[in-house]
Amino acid sequence: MLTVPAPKRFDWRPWALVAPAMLVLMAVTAIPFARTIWLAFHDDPHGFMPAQPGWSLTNFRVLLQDRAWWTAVSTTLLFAAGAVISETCAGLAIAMLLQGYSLKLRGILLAVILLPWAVPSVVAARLWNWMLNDQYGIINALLVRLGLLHQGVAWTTHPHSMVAVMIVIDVWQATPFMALLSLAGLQSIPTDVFEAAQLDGASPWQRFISITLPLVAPVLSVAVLFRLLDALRMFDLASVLYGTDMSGMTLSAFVQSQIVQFGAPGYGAASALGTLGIIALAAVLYGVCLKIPGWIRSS
Amino acid sequence: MRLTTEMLVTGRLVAMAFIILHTLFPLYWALVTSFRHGTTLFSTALFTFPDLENYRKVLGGPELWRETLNSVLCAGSVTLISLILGIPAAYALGQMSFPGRRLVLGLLLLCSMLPQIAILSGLFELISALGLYDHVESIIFADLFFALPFTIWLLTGFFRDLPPELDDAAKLDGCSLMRRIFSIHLPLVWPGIAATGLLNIMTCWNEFLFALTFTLNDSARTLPVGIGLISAPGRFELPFGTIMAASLLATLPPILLVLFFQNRIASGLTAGAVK
Repeated sequence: MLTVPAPKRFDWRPWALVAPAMLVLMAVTAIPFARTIWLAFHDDPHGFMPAQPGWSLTNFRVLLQDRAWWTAVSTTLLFAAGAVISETCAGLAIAMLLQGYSLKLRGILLAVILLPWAVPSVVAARLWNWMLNDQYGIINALLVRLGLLHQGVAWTTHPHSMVAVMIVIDVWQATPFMALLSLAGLQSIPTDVFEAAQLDGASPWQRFISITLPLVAPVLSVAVLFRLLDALRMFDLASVLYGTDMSGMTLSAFVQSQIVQFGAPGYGAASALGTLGIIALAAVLYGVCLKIPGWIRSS
Repeated sequence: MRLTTEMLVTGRLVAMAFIILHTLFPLYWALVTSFRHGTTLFSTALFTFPDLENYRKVLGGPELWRETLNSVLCAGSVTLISLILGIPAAYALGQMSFPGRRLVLGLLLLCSMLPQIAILSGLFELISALGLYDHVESIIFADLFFALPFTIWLLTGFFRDLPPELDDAAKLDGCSLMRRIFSIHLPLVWPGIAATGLLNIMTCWNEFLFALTFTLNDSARTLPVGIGLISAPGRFELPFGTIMAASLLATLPPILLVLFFQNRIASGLTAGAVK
């Protein structure tokens, strides 16, 4: 059969299909983002003083010396590390537990386990805030009754436990997500690999370390990246639990309060770009960490 | 040997019981609290008789109804708009090959990684300039920022999974592009569309940052903002009973969605990470 190659012409059809979505995306993302960058490099008006016209680095200079900002940085990093590590371990453990059940039972258990993930973070914050109430909270009451505490602890007002409270709530909400993705990763492992290992006399621990973990890693590492990016921009819990209290503020809460409470869109924009830098740094660091086992093996 | 397997089975059972308890207890305690008011709130007894006083109070006022209406409006419009815009784009990105395709996909991925606060300053100005501030439309507009890239990204994966022969055969039969999308591909990616829509509905229903930033009065508030802002009317009154009642009512729709569409939601979530 003879085929005559059609004259190569610019095919506009895919672009026509993509264009409406891209135009809307430009309006809701590109324009506000460009404007945010512009604002970050321009001074805010202060009180009756009009803003200085022209480009300036003042916002960033102030940001570097802002103690509240650095507190927010450490709060956010501590929260993200604590939450993501606990959720990954717990999620993988739950997934392995679930694998031991029949398909039908697994479906029911999974539906129950997914429930906290569906709860709005605002509701989760309110719920746990009530359970952790220093005088009437059920958690303090149980701890006192068990003899672990003499009197109730004000978990949500003590600077040392404020981050821990956010981690506990986030673990309650996000572990289901990690469990679900770990389960997907586990199911992609062919069962005969385990049977072969068992026949060869590998202990459960050996099987976990040298079969499960490396084979789950590709799926799990993407899920961890998602969670990490999510945790680093956490706003809801910090805002509902601590409002504008400096010692519990995350980076997102800091930026939002600069823009809304203090009416400083320029300073807010500069701190947003700072946050973006920290998130990018954390993502790169995470990528490097993923490569380390490979380097050790190859050296 | 027998003993260890038995121990293992018991251990598994105990662990699972603990997980379920940890999952459900906070919700159960919210339910118990929502039945209590006045001095009974201070009780730490684990059981109580249903008393619907708090629910009567919450449902009797106009706030919760208005907030629910706003939330429905918001979640519904955002999901609908992103599906209408996203399906053609995802078809092009998943089924057609054209120069610039990878660039568009890369841009979408970048967009979906951008945190909300990265655009908050600029978006605040834009929304004020458009006259949308303190209207539900502002939240709908803002939510497209995360809903649209997520929708296109997820749907592109579902479209890509369809065999290209399908499209080629229909093309040979003289089927137009629009007919190919609507009568051949859409029915096949229907599960993917359902999963994407459900996830969008839930994210918008729970969204707090934009809804809090772009509304001032109660008239445009969504449920999370309303619940986040309930505070004690008097210094000596603890509103925890009503807060829990309102919280549970607001949580009911997403919980029902998870219970009914668990498989679809799970497949959407996994596809988002695996594809």
